[in-house]
Amino acid sequence: MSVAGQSVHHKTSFYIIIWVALLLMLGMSIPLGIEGHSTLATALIFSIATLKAYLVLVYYMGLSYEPRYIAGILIVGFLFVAILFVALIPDMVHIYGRI
Amino acid sequence: MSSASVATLSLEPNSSHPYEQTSGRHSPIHRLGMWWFLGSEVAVFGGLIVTYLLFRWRHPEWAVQASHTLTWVGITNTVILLTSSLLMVLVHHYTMGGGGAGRSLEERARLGARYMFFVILLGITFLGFKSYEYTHEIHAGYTPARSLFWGFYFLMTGLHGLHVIGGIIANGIGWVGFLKKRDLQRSEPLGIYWHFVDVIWIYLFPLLYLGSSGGTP
Repeated sequence: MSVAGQSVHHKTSFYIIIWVALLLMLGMSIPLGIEGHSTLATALIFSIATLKAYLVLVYYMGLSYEPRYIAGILIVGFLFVAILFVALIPDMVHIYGRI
Repeated sequence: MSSASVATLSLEPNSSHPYEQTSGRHSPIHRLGMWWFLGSEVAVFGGLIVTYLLFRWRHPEWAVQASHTLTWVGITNTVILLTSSLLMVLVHHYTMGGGGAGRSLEERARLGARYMFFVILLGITFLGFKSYEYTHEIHAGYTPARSLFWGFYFLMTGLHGLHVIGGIIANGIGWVGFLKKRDLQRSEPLGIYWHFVDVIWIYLFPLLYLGSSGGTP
């Protein structure tokens, strides 16, 4: 990871701690996914997935050390996804009568 | 970030990593290019995921079909990709001067090549498990033509698999460079890309493998 054109380094133990945290979160989501039938379980599974993605983005990909416009590039991608989502709603209503 | 936990790489007048000498508020061009590419990938995978979610929301019976995916393979592949991400960050760590300011170029290249070898090996292992899973499912009659769920399943995992293959090839090129003790800066865009492949799988795994015993995702 880098900041202002220079490389920034944590200790290797830091990366291993992140890896252990990712595995622990995976371990938490598996029973929720296999046994969970509720909306709450589903929400928890995707909350855990989002937290895992955040850890990888911030600490492994070094997004927090990049200039802010780099995050902006990704946000543009998400905006296109949001537009697609909204644009698909009329089709869903047409097919199923409601969303 | 405390100064005790972070060491900043010192800039050498004749550094073999030109981008390290850039300054100001800009990201080096190779990282910037990779981020732009990943921005477009967000739209591609995000579009697929959103469309899948909309359909699955209206088709609770997809949970039954999802129960035919091999969850243990999904779990194994998740562990493989998370571990490969750890090794990839170590590739970057060592090639870019982490773990001791006094490391020579040769030692940094050697360590980078060592960890990159295992990243590539884990990528190939991921594909091996995926191939086994595809074979099992297709022999059981679960082909893309069987239903919309399996169409989505093969499209999303197949597209992700193609990205893994691309990553392995790119990492292989990087690995050869490390063996020749050159182009160590390639570890940055290679790492960003490989971690992104991991992030995509972090979402594909619960979407396609978990929440399969009933209910909507």
